[in-house]
Amino acid sequence: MISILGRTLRPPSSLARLIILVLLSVLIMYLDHKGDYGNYIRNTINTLIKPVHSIASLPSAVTGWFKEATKNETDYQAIIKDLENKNNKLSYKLNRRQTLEDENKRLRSQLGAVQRIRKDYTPRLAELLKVSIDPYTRKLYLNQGSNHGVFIRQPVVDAYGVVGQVSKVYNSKAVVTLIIDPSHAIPVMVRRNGLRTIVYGTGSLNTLSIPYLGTGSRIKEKDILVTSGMGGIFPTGYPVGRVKKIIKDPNEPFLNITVAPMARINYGKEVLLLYPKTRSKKSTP
Amino acid sequence: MRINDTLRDYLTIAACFFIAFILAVLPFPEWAERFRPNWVGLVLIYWCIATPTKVTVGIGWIVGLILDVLFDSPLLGQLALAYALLAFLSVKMHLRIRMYPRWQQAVVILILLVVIQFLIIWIRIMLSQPAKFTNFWISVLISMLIWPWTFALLRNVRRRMGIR
Repeated sequence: MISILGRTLRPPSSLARLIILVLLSVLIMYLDHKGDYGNYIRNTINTLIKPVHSIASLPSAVTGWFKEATKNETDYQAIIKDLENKNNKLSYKLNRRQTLEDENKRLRSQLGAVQRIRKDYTPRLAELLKVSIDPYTRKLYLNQGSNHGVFIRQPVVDAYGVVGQVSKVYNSKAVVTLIIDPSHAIPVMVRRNGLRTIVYGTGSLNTLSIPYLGTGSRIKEKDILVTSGMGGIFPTGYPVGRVKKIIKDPNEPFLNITVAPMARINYGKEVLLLYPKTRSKKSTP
Repeated sequence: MRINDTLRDYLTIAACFFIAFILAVLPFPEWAERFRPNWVGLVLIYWCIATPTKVTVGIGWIVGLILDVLFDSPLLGQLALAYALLAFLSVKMHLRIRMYPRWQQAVVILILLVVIQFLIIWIRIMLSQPAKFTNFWISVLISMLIWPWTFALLRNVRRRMGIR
């Protein structure tokens, strides 16, 4: 019993409270659906539960540290050698690519086609918090938020391919929807011949799918899919996945294609956030 | 003095929930993800049947709301609704559940958790979010299997801190 100003009030029965709270939940869901109101609540609770996240991500941090600490000198030498090797190969590739790019530019200008300025991005490292979220979806937390300039729909990649895009931004945290999330779709093209399509997430870790390609489409197994840049979110030409299997069912109008993502979604801790270099460059063609 | 006691009780309960939240988001390897028991649900049920005057629908709702943010639900409030119902049912049945032997309790807990999971999935389907009926069964069964130990542990905590 609560007494207010000398009057005693009976607290409402638990059924009444349940009904009130259910209505409140529905109201919050509605507000969250309609506009930005939900974000205030999310931000407040997120600051409250920050310790939960930091403690929960501790074990993987500790094992990482332990691995780092137990490496000896020969390991490091091997790593350095490996990296040097890779660096040589990469710079070779880069040089070759540079010439190709220059040639491409020249040819384009000769053709007189509208020169579409390639959107240039500055990548910046960010860390993924290794905590599990909603089991029905595929999302991860990022340790940077609006304080660091992260914005919504920002592309997230790693060294091997596209990882996903930022779907929610808090002050010092952001949620990344991975490309394997069942609600995620990304416009791609086949690198070999430029065939454009859309790759959907399936929810399982190592498979993406292409549901809407007709049986006559020119796509082969082991084809590499790169972003087509159609959605305006991802940069053009970044690898997304490799076609794993194509099943042709004569009764179906569409091919059943599974794709393996290129990005090492479950391994890496660091990802790259892509920041467009200049916004103004985009508007002046 | 009495206010201090209540404060201490609530802090103890909050600490239990805090640990449950950590266990709920602790990273598991991919294959083990489906074996993760519903820690928050178990802790909530325990405190509802042990201290039905302290932990009630309201606390269940707040716990659900925190889970909503922790799990990044597509819409805020959908887990809050489910956990409010879980708290309500547990409080309603607390006398009966207390009387049952431990394994019978576990079966009731199983039923409660399945009801909540169905509600969660139903809400997800209503809001046309991805949902599957197949992947919660193992988690719920494991929750049932560890209930006796969870119960013993939390009862120890409660007696040590003198919460009634």
